[in-house]
Amino acid sequence: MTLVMVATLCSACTTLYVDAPDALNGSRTYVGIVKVRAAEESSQASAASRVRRHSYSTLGLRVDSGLSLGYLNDEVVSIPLNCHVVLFVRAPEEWGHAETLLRQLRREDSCLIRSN
Amino acid sequence: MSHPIKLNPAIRTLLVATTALLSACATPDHSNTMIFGTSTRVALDVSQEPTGSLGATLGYKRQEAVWMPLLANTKTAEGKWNPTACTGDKCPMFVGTTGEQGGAAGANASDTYSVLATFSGDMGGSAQNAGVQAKVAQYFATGLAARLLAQYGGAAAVGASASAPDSATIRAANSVVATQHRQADVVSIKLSKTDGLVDPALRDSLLAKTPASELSDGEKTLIKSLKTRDELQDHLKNAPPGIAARLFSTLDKL
Repeated sequence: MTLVMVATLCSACTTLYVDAPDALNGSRTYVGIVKVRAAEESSQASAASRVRRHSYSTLGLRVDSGLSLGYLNDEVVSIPLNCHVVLFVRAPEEWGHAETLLRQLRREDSCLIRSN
Repeated sequence: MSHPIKLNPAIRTLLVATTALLSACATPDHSNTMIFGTSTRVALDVSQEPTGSLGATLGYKRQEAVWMPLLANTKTAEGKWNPTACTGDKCPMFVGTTGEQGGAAGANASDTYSVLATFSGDMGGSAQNAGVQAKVAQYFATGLAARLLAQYGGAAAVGASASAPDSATIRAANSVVATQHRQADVVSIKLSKTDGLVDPALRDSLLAKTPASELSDGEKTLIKSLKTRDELQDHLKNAPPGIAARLFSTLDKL
């Protein structure tokens, strides 16, 4: 809790407004440390490129539909049509294993996503 | 537009919670996209509950929910999403079906939109019956995928604390892989000509005989699409267990 208070006192206030095409719109006000990870837009037409992952991490105060003081993490994944099997791979060395797994499944509707 | 769908109270609460979690005060537009949300809090939290009452939490709280499209939408000329028109009793809805041949869930089974998503925690890449075994830290499933996971123990796929395979297991797995590779080598050589191309007549003859004939139509089509010895060899080496073995066992009947 001390860390939360320090983070709250030593930082500025910011309001984050999310304008996304898939229903993630909204505004939130943060006081403290905020980490925002927005989905990258891709020009590729494949289903996998249209999988989007957003996350918001806060250490401090958040004003949303209420008040929250502490650590909060919201993560949202939007999955388009024709993407029925989705694998998020965090470690680069696991990428090859995931590809092998999906190849063995032989599903054209599978999506492999890099996730840091 | 309303639909006569009865929801489990817990699921209804989750969906309402998803709306509140994901979009603050706005109602999400439905864009034929499935949304999965996770909210983790280690905090003092005072906020409005999905039921409308004010709730307070002190400590750890985690919520997971899925916002799933049921009724198909189309884009208007202005670029807005609108539900497609229902004609008679039929509405274009997202439904997963198993088809006439069925599957593990049974023939002609249907359920809501089917998705299986995993967030990898540990994909060890160990071989098990020549397959790849993956351990995941978190996953979610909907529709038929969820039913199959529940039926066949999908929870076993989550094994953050899974112990490493012992040496006997590794030796057995390596033996299975080596056998499959050897069978793939023999089959691909037997079915190809000296110029490195697959002999179509010989291949079709092999596929028509038991036990190779018992392979699925999809697998046969895939094998028939492979033109060269190397392609066939590579495919059989990486194919699910049993395919190379069946072709190998049929070679005696040529």
